[in-house]
Amino acid sequence: MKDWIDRYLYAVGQKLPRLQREDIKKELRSIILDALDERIANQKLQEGEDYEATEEDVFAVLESFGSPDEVAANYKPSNRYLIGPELYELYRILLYIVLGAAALGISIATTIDIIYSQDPFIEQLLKLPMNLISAAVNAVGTVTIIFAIIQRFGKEERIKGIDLNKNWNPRNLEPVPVAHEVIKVPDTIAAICLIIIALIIFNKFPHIIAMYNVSKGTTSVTPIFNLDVLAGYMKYMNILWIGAVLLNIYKLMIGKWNTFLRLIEIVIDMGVLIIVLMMTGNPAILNPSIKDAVAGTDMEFLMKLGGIGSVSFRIFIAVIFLFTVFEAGKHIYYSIKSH
Amino acid sequence: MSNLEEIVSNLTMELRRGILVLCVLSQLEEEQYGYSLVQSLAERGMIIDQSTLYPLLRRLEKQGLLDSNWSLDENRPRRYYVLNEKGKRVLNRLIEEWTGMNSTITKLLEAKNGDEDNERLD
Repeated sequence: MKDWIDRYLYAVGQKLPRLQREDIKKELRSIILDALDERIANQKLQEGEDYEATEEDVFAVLESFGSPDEVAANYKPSNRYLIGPELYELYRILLYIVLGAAALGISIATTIDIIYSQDPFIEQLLKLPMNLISAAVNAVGTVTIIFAIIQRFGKEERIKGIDLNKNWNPRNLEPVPVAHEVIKVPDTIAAICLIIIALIIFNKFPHIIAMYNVSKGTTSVTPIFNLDVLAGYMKYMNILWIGAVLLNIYKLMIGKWNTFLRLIEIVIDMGVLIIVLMMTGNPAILNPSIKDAVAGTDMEFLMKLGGIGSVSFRIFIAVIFLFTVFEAGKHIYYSIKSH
Repeated sequence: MSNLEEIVSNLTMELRRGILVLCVLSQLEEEQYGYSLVQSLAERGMIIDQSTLYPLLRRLEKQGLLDSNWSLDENRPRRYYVLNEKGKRVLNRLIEEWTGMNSTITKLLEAKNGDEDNERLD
């Protein structure tokens, strides 16, 4: 009959810190036996002196003590966190940094891969999301494991010393940013990705910007641009685009618009607009054979691209122009307002 | 209704948890072993979950408020706990705190009952 108590104590002991295990088990055993004696004495009072103790008495006593997990957990309350509240804030910050660094690293590696590998561009690009996900899982896992180890084995006082909120002071509170001053993180990251993709495509694979004509099972590919002429513009465009990537990274770091940022943004927007206008104004930008390729298809309007002849094309350019001017005006307005 | 009961029982448990140390210390001016302590608290109306009490005794010992020793005189070895000097001082301070808190809360609750009476009159 005593075997159940041994089993119970063993189950509790498995969850206890090794150093205190035997001592706690010894104490628990004596208390459980006390409780059992008490219960049997009570039963004898109710049922008469010839009451025989059964296993049910043992079970009832063990149940009153609670599950082994619960009992063991009560003996070590401070170690029940994977990552405790003192460490959590630091954990969260480091997680973002590591995730950001991993994403940046993978993006750069993929870009280099795309530029130097012989595999088709699209195939390479499709690897990016999978690489990003596996890198993110790795990063989160590693940081979590490191913090869990610190939490588990770190000295309590040392962990309390890490608490970032300990030195909080109301005098250091940041002013509340006005809505138009906040830089939107998703927009900025999307811009960086789009510009990098544009950089890769226009420099390394301009021929894939093409007319894809499928007829009778065969696909004929005719690049839209005259690649030599395009390359002449790309020299300037690359400077602006790389500038825009750097600017967006800087925006992410600062998190808030300021006059300097707005100024650079205007310069880059205007630069891009000017180059786009110059390109559209130059008939030589188009691949000479594109005319034959598009003739008779619903893409025929592309032929007018060089001449800025049609009304619809003028409207299209005007919209880009107005949009850029509007953005620039907004930046100027806000930077004057903030002074 | 069961939701209300659950909230009340959780809050009551928290209240008890807060005063548990005071209750335990108050019973340990003379040495007691674990089970006898549960009994003596229960006799006075303070029913304590055993899986909470025994670890608490060890923690109080680790904090230096209790002394403990294994007694081998009886039919089975038992660990006895008793307040030491530091424990007695802590107990006295806690009693002061409790008395102050108790009178504050009593006043608060009296004031609340007074409000209710007024509302009923209106």
